[in-house]
Amino acid sequence: MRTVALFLSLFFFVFSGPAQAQSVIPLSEKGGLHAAYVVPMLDVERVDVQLIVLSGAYDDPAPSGTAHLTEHLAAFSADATILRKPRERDIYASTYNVSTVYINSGVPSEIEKLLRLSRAVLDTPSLPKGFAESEIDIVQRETLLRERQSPYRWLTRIALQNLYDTTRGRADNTIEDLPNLSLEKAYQFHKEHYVPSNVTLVVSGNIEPEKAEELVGLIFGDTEPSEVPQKPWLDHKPDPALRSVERLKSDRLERDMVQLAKFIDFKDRSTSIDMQGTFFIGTSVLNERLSKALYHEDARVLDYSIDWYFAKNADLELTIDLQLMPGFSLDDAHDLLKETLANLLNEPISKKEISQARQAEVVWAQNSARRPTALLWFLQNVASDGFPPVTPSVFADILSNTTDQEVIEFAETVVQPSATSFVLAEKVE
Amino acid sequence: MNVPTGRLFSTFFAVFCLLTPQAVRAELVATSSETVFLELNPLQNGTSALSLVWPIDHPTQDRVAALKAGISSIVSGGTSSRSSYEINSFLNLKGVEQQVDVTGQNLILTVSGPNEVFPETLVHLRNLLLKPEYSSDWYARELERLSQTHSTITRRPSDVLTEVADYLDHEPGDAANGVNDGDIRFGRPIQAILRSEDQVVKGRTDRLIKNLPTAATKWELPIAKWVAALTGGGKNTFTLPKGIVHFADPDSTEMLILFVSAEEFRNVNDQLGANLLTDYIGANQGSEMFRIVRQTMRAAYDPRSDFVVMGEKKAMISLSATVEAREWPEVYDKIKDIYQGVRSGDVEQESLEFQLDSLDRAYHYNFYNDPVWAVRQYIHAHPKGVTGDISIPLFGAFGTLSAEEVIKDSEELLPPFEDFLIILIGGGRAPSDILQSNGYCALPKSTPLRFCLDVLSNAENL
Repeated sequence: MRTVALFLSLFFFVFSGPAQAQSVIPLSEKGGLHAAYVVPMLDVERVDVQLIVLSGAYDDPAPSGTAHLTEHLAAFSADATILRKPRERDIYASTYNVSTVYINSGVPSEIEKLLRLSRAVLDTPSLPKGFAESEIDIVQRETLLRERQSPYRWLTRIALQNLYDTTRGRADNTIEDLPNLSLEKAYQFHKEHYVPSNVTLVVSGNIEPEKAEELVGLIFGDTEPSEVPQKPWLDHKPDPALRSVERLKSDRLERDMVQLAKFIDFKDRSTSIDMQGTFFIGTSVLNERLSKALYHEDARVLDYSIDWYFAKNADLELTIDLQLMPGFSLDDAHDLLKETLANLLNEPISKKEISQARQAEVVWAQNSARRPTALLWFLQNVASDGFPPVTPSVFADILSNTTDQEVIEFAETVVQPSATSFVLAEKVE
Repeated sequence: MNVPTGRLFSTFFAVFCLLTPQAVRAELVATSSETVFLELNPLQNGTSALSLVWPIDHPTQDRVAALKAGISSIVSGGTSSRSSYEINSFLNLKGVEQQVDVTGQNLILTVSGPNEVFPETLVHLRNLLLKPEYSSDWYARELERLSQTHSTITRRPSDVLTEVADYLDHEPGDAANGVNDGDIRFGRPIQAILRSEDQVVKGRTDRLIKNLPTAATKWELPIAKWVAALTGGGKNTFTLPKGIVHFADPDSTEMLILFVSAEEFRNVNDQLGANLLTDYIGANQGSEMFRIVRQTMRAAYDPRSDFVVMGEKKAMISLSATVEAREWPEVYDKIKDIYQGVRSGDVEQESLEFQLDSLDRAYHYNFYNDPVWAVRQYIHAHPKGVTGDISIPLFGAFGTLSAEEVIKDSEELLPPFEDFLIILIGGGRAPSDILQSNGYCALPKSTPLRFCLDVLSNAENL
């Protein structure tokens, strides 16, 4: 945490123009919360409170979906406790892999109410029993809907189940587990995970730091430090020799697809906190090379997406999906992806590539600062691991402090042979 | 809110033509006259944008897809001096976005980026338009990407509405109306809309347009198509058939219920009033559908309404919910009750005022932050260009509309429930004979909705 404290104490004026620098100021009157911050941006007309529970879908006990159900119950309970009039606001809450984020947004004069809404999320959900029971049906509806609407979610799940050889933790069993969702499990999850020491609070927008300090102290100051829940999934790593390939056919697909999941173990590292710059620049360089090989130089791939998940313990997970043009066989696409990964660093990474990757990431961060929802995502991204939030301007500074050699070593580790799981999915009528 | 305004630089009567220049195999899409070059209020998020508009001469599905794929290929597929990869790198390094959009009979390319890089973005755009490197593979991929998603697979309301919008806007496919295998070049646009205060940007935009080729005067189109193009031919009617489109999936435990109606309004105040009532019915978590269908009935996760503006005083009104298959008739009846209640004026005024504020804020924010959305509003208001001061009447309507009046006029603003087309996708029992009495079409697997929309329309026209 010393490194973090060092860069948080700096001011950042990297950007010019409307994307102003944003400082991250830790709040001391936070009660038992894991952490609380304010990011003052006095030139906007809004204020946002993000309450980040540092547990998400990866922390699900059996059945999968428990964290999601808990999110629904806590959100409705909090709103019913604080609000009295309908149509006053919409609820924004999302369950991610490692966190559950509640966002309460409004105009600056509403800040106290927004903080109280956030605080109420930590209270044991209090909802009429019939309503709470039937929220299970709603979660089931939502899950099925998302499953139908996103074929990639389903394929990624299969790839991850095969990679980790489990249906828990970093993989899940969401659809099959739907009938087993229960209020009892959800309330237990709330009791274990929605505890002050497992929660980070981020207040951003038009608010003076002193005001934030005062109100956070008023509303969260009575929370007590608590036991932090265990995260057994962090110790669950696949067999490095795994080379899984599963074939399937489905009428749920619009076209043939190849899905890859790859696990990379940075064995000499135990935390990702000091690897953020390396991660963002390194993955940017690799993304560019993958994009060039799979898309710009090969018209047989209709579309592709690449996702990276960097866990707090420095475990890295890469997922890639390829949608194939008609006539491009699954086997050929499988070979293309394997060969592309194997040969990705045949040509050494140049200084220019790293410099361009650094610049592209800074530009991306600047663009995020122009859009309220993108900025909120930016703040919650790194904070979801329990680290301090990173603003676009802090991000630029982190990138400038990352050396080329660190980036090269990161990329070399990524392309080393490691556990992989492919799904070759054929569209059928 | 402020009413957005703009300024016209120059305007001429513009005709467009479509021809094949003798020296080049590629088809050229360009106006043969001057471009209407105008400026709307600058964006407020530190970015600038330029939108170029080309009219679509004969807006069939195939033609629209070909032109979209053509312009997408040109802005991403590479030039004689830059590969597609290098172009992509440029966009990433500068934070520049290129978006292709179609509204009605207009093809729109919008390029936006941070103010400080926008002058060089225009140089980039000039190179793309003047020195494109045609690749049949790249074009084929763009065309494949644009091929319509079958909404019976994804079952997203937005995908269903995209198919319905395509039906309303465009005639069926017409592969015979040649597109030269996608080797299409884009010359002088009929309109150029700028969102920037930078004089350098204005100068470069002007030069860019002047450097683009104009169409020659030789007409290549058959006379009927030529006349249709000039008079805004294509689909003349903005109507949907009544009845039910039903895609039965016996394996599914869910059913998507979607009601949709195509409406033309007398004026922008009526349009805004209908929008407001539609939002009141199902646009957010305070809406009637959310309150009743989700929170009381516990029947759906995402009950919603959509008001999709399709043109000047034209919109689709839609209500939808994905529900347990066996419960769909009950939810259908409840949505009908909600709609009819609101249409009859059973509306809480304070809540409607909240919706009005919310819609006003959304329009204001989008206009000053989303250049693609804003240019659509401009095109809707002024599909044939404009002379003199530029204003978008819809924005002005916010200042004159009252929730009280909207409630009083609700029956006139919203169509009767019986006018809605009903789309059912999923499991559960087939609709009753009574429901089928307005018309019924069973949609085959892997078939676009258009198939049934034609069947129902033809039956109505017998």
